[in-house]
Amino acid sequence: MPLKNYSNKDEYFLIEQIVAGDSEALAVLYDRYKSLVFSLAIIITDSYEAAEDITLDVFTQIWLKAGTYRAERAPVRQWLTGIARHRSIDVLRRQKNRPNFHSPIWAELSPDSFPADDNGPTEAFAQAQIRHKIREALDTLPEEQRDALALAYFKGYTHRQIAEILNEPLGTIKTRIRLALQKLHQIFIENKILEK
Amino acid sequence: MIDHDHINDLLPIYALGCLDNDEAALVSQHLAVCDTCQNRLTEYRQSVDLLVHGAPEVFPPNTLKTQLLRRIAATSDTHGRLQRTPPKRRMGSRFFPAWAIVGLIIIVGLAGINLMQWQNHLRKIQAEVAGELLIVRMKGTSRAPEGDGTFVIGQDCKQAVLVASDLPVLDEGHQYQLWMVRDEQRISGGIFSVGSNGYATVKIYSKELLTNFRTFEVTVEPTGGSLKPGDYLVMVSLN
Repeated sequence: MPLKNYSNKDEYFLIEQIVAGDSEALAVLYDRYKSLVFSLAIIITDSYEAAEDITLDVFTQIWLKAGTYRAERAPVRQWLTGIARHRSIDVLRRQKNRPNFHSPIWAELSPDSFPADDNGPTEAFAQAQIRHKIREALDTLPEEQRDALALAYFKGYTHRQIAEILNEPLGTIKTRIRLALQKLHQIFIENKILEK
Repeated sequence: MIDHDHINDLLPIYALGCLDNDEAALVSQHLAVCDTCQNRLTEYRQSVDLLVHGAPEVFPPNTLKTQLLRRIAATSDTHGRLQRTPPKRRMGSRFFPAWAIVGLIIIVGLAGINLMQWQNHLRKIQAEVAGELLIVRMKGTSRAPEGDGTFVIGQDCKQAVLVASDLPVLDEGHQYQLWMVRDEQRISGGIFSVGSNGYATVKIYSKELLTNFRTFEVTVEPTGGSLKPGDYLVMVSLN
């Protein structure tokens, strides 16, 4: 049986194929998003082993629940990384000894790198460019906004917990997060990462 | 009356999923009737969605893909049974046997519990015999249409695990309660809350055989549970 070539297919097609029980479609989706999911799981849980389990669980869930995906609600990437983030935060919260507080570190700006990517060099380049622009945008935020955002996004702390951790008034934390997301949205629109 | 400015203040945190339950419920209620805030939330969520690219990039080991493909190959037949095949009648009942322990581990893993802990628990349940496990599927009612549940009964028929998914997050004043139904009598199987992603696992230890019960139901009750179920039914077992 010849191998199917899904390398140029969009994610909606892949999801349809997964619903139909096509494991090769899942394999392609895995190749596209494995590092995104794994990176997220590691920075949230601080555990390589937990990140492996989470990555397996996320893609298994995609396999079992592809039929519940609704394109009108979110792009596939957003659905997938949303599952990964929630799963990772749940694992983190269930750890009996939650790691001592430290503000998660955002990825540093670095020269564009094109890691080995099963999707081909063009796709890898496009993804690297988007990553770089997003990291540039994050770099424009004041440090206190980045810290608050990191604690919320990567560690799942509530705004009250963040206020306590950073020893700041609750209103200050809410404002920092709101200003950070508003500024990022503006930059993403200007750089055409998001559509207006 | 809900203060619009107050909701505006909470929207970015809501988009991050970092509000307390009661505040999240307040925002949810408002969003159901306010297009302006709904549009703002969509914008915040778009930005939140892209934050994933701010994580330092790390690649999983190559072996993980092989593990994944093996896992889904092993669950394919189980998945087919769970999703598409009507339950077989066994012992004149509405149960049907699980085919593979791997399938059970996957189901439980999806619920977000500590896999190591559950695998240890699973080994205990199976320790006595080369076990078949009984599975009862549950589905959400119109009040929780996306709700899904898998009720897995161990070999001794007195221990079980309910794995619930896609149930709405409740406010602090309410919890979900499992009911085991027999001859119009409803016995509580336990209370639980779901995580921010709508998942929960509930371990059940019954004094009598779980196979004596015809149906399983989940309702919303005041925190701490009720002696009798109210009428807010969210999930029922499939017969």
